[in-house]
Amino acid sequence: MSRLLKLGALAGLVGGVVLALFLRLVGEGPIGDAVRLEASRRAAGTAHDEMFSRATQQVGGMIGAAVYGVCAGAVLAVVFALLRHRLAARDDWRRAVTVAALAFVTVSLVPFVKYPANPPAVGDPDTIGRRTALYLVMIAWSVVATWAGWRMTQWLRARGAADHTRLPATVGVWAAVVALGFIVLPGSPDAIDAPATLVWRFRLASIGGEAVFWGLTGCVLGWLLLRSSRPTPSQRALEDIAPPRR
Amino acid sequence: MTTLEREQALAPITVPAWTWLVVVLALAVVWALTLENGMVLAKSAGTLHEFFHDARHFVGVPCH
Repeated sequence: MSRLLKLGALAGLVGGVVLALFLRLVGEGPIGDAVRLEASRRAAGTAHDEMFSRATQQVGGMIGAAVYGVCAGAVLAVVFALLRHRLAARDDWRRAVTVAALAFVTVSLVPFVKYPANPPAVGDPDTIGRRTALYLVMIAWSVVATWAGWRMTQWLRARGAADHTRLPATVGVWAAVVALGFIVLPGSPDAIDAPATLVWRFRLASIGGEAVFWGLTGCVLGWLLLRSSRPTPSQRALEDIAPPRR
Repeated sequence: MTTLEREQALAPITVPAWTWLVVVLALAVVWALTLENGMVLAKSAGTLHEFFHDARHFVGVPCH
């Protein structure tokens, strides 16, 4: 298990570093525009002391992305350990990528659709507590939805259902649970008064970064697992002399 | 790979108790990094928030 955790953290580090580069190259464009918009609005009113310069915040953001990557990679490795023997796939690479794809949909994509990421300049400081709570409830509900789909797929597989029955039924159950959460939970309380183009440039960069992160972390974890399970040259030589009995 | 091999059940990976400690630790770091607004770390929350500001926005958590 400790080896698997290390591989997960390493894969997450690779994903996190690429996420940091993605943030710097793709995300900082709209973030910079939003910060300038915020400053121009504020110029009329009172002066505002920033704790850190924009340059420091950009570096902090990149460090944050890398640390986030390591933590998310470690958690991904634990989820992988819990699910591995229940995932019907050809090898560990496919299993790792499957778990990472499920993680992307569950903790990034579904919460994003309900409460999309916003650039600076959008967001009322007074509603931050409420928005944070709603966001966490959405993530928790999304985990419930994925779990419900998982149970459905396990139940149908145990009953010997064919893939063309099992997969649509699984997606159907998952989508129904997600939809229920979307309907029941209230929308974000904040009005968005920044230009739609700016907001959506930022949102696409944000969800794109998450897709890159989970995709890459899953691939790297899979590669590391394949690499570490491959027999060493001496083992292979031994098998050539005395093939293992099947 | 034959169907027989694919259907062979894999042995479950044993997850020792300390693993959950690592999970809690990892989630706590993610919390401090992204969601902390003074609920737990009253004093240093603002500093953390401002330093990791861009990453917070980028991973999509609600921000000021």
